[in-house]
Amino acid sequence: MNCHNNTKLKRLFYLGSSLALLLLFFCPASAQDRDVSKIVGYVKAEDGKIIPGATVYIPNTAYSTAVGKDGHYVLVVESGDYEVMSSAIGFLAEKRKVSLKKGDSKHTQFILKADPNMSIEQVVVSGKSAIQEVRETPFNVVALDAKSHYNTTLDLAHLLDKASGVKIRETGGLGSDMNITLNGFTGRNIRVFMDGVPMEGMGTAFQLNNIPVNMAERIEVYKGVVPIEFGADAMGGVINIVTNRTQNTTLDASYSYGSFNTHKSNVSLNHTFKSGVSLQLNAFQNYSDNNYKVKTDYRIFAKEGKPVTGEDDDIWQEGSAWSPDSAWFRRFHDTYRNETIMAKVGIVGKKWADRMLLGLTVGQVHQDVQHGAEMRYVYGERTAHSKSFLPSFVYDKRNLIVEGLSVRVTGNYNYQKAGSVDTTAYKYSWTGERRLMKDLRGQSNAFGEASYGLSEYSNSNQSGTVNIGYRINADHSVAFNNVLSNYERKPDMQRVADALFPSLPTAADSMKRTSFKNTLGLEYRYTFQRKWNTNVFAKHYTNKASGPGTHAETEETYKQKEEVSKTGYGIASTYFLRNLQLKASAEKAYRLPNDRELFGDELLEEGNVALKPEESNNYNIGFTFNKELTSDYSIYVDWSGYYRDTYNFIQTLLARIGDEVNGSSMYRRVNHGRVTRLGTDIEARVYYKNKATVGATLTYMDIRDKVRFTDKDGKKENGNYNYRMANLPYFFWNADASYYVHDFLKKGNTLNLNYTLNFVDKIYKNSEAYGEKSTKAFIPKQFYSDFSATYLLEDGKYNISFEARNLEDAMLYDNYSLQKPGRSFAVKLRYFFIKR
Amino acid sequence: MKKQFIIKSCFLAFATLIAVGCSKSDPAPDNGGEEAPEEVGQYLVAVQAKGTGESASTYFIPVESLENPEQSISPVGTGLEVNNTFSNYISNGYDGFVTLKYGRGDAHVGTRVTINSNGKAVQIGQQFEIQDGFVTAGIVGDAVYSAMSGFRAADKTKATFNIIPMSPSTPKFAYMQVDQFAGYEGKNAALVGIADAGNGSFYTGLDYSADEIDELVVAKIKASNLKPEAVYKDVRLSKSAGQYKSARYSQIGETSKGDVYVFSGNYAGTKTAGAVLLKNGATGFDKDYFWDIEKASQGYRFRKVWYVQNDIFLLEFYNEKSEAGKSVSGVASQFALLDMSSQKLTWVSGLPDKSAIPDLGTGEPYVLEGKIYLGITTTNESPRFYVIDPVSGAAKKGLLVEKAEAIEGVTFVKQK
Repeated sequence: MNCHNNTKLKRLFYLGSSLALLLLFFCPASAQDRDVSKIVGYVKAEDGKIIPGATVYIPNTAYSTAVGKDGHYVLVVESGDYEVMSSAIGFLAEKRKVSLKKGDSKHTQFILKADPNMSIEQVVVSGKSAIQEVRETPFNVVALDAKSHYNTTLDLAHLLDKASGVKIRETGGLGSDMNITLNGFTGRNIRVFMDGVPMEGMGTAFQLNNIPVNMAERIEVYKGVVPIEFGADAMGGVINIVTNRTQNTTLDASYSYGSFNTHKSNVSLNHTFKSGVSLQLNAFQNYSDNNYKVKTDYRIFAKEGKPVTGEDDDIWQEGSAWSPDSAWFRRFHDTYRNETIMAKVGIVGKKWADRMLLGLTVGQVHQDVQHGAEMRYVYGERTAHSKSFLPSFVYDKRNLIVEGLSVRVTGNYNYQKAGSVDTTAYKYSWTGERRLMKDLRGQSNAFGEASYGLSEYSNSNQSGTVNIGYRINADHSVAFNNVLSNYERKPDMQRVADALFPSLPTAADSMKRTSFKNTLGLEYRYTFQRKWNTNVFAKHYTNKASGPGTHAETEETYKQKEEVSKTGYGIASTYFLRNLQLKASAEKAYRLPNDRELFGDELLEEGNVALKPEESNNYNIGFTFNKELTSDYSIYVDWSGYYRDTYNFIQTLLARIGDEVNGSSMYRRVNHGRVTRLGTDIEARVYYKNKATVGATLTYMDIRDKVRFTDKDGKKENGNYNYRMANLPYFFWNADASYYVHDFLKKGNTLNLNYTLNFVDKIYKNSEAYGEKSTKAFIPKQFYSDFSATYLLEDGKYNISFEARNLEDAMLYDNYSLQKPGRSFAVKLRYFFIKR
Repeated sequence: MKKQFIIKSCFLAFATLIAVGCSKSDPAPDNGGEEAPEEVGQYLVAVQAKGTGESASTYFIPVESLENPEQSISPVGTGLEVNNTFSNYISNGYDGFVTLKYGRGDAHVGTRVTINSNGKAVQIGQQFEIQDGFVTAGIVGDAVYSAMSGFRAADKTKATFNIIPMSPSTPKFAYMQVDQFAGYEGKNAALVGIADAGNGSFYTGLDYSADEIDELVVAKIKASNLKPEAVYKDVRLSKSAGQYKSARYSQIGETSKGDVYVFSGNYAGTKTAGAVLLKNGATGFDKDYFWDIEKASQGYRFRKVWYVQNDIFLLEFYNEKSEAGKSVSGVASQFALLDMSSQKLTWVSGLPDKSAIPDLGTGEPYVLEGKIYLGITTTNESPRFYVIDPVSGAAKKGLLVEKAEAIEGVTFVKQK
């Protein structure tokens, strides 16, 4: 069968249906069929050694190839004049000019020099790094280079905070709870992956707020339309942490000490034996007293000993009260510590597997809880803890059996044992005073600062993914993806029930909750003349959940089973002009309710098994402009605009269990409402040689409440209709400048200075529409800057960093007025060894 | 903007449990429209509002009139935002509201709201915390009192009272001995309601159901030292107590003549829902007076009771009839006016259908100038005030509140 003659017909067929998958297997065409030119040659290091992972490419086009094991490469292009680049991580990129006529085959060799500052941004600027490859997909994605931050004390969350469109919101200092806002989506609308494996359920010992930046190679942030390989039902987007994958032998060890008695250390070790056995070991530790100062109003306890029941009228005394003015206090019960070890062992670079690794992550967290949702409700003894045990498996192979077939399989089992202790008999004030609760009457019990409890629970879930991709020829490829996850909770709820409302343990309390989710995706990718890439995809979502439900009339509990299946689809396209890449994408996406929304957390959140998936129509456009202005200056601009129209928004309402005094208020989820988001993200950066960079990211998003009526019959108007949604940051930017002093004090040593300015605009805590503006509760405008200086010795083998954050000592707030640390300093020492 | 609104006097306002007007010694005129001293001020309306996915906040909006059905207000862009919701709205004369929140597991808090000299709603002082929490509240003279029974405390023999002044100062608290009421020594009473008895005293219902005593018991308490002045009992009825979950509502009201009607909603279903009379100056319940209201209403029981004028009370009835011997349950959203002396029951007409009013879907009724203003939230319309004629029981539509979840309360605030 001659595929070449049928190209046009086939193209139509491909576009029309992603079911072409099977048929396409019978059409193994090759690029050589076309009337094209070739650039061939080899890439080597100065010492003549082969550089694994080196690439050869033509900037701002899709022409790119990886160097083979012998160092050779073949780049098939159309005729024309090109500047061909070669780069590899740890090396300075090289450029060659090549002129090709039709059918030409030219030889071009590259000898790459080792980069003296391998952690410096330059690798990203001029190298066709993995980061650039990510940026050049048709998806609306930003990739953050983690390596250029290895000398900082950042955790992954704070690196993520630097991306356009992303805002991290914390409840306090190190290890505090955090929440990602991505294009105005928060929480469960954003899925976080590590190397393509969902991080959901990985336990608190292994989360973005404690994993050091050194563990990652880069972070990819997909906004809105998400490639099928993540199989995610995430409407807001996906964050994928790509961990180090070097086959070199590396040792990276660091320790930092900073304000508030904060110690962080990290050791990571990579080694691949000649036999192909690969070993990765990562260990990190975080500790902080978090004893920074906060300004808050505080409880003044009633005087002890009074009142009396007496004959006279002098029985009345001042009760407990809130201070009329706020005052500064040092946090006194907020210690956070965590220790995590992650080990991976397996083989790499075999005929039948590029990578096959078994991993095990073991970690623990212990933390004090300083306050509730408002700082004034201070706690003195409440603690939380968890232990996680996470075995994992990954198999990866390109060109399996046949050329162009790639397979990736992952499996994860997550087991977490966690709990909290809140059994004290005392109530605390910021002043350090405490009072026995038995004297504070009207409490449903005389113990527990928030709600009495000594809870221990365990969660387990299993997830597996299969990715199969087949590149039919240079123009056509297809991919299949399936992600399934299974969750089971068999609660021992008696204890919780006892703590909450002793008289009401119910049938629901002991009922098993299960959920099974499957997301199946198909994708077809078409590349037209290497300049225009288009992905068409469809995703099928299935969700089966069972848990306690309640009959509306009889109020009897029964086992409710729900099954939902939905199909979403989308298209993403990108076009390369000379220095410009244009992108557009659209998707009909669904988000399945997650386990917590379906089943609650048995304490503060009530489950709703009957929740329907959220539905969203996402549209994105954008461009990336990347140009070398002169031989000294280059510029990078990335702009995107998006519109999201979300229906069946899962709304959180206040519900109640028990009764008014004996019970407690809980959150419950219902499907209701519509929200639209129109936004823009921009990132611009100018590079001067390898000496300086100045850049900025800016995000503005208009998130509007589109619920016209607050009741189902459409008779009660929503006053916030068309107004901004409350409590979501909508305008923020940061600007940064870096300067590198090469050969500082000694040849081969570099001093790097970095300054960042951050801004977040004021937001209202409640719906924008209601009430007189001057009376409304708000989180004030935030403006602060950070500075760091890093001295790299012996080409980055030894590093000393000094960091100052929040130089202005500004009062920074996040979620509902929880204050974050003021000015802080840290010193970090790092040793980095690499043997290629 | 300075709004001025001239209304006729407070000549009837004092008489309600929730809106104690002027002073108790004012003569009570007939409901005949005699010219009375004039007051200048505005109504202060409390509404709850929220947008998609938000938890509700409360907005306090000053308005001139509640009567015009063609007029509407909305919290959009106006009103004082208070970042909380409240379960009790207690009018303090013409000075504004004291609002209290059942804290459930959390602290029980409250705030005070009035209208300042610029015509704007403002908070008086900070939000405050109620020592030991509360289950019932009411006004005595010019201060709001709240009470929490001793059942949840280590020492069950004492109830905690809080006194909340209409000033920025923090509430004070004191304990009351609840196991020494005459005739019930050694048994812990749960307290239900705080109903002004004049001269710095109040009535409260004593609930001994924990000790399986099924009687109507009322104590008169001196507010200043929380000492009982008298205990009255009657076995014809069960306890005098309205209740919704742990909240307790007074079912006691003193008329302008000084007669005290004590109701029992027959919560547990052991007797009947009815009322007895403690005549002005009497030392015990009137043996000749008894009204079987459950019978008069053809089988309905009631939850809340408010005094209106003369011998007329407004009662909130449960929507469904309950079987004898069984506790009452379900929604209470229908109303009737009861002339206690002639024992005439008039169902309030002209309100939305009771099936459309969710439980606690009505705000606190407010009585002024011989009219009852009732904010009603229904399941299918925007909340609206209804103006009820206390004699005929006919309700007319009043001010519409658009773009809000619920009307929480209303009070009249004199211009400062």
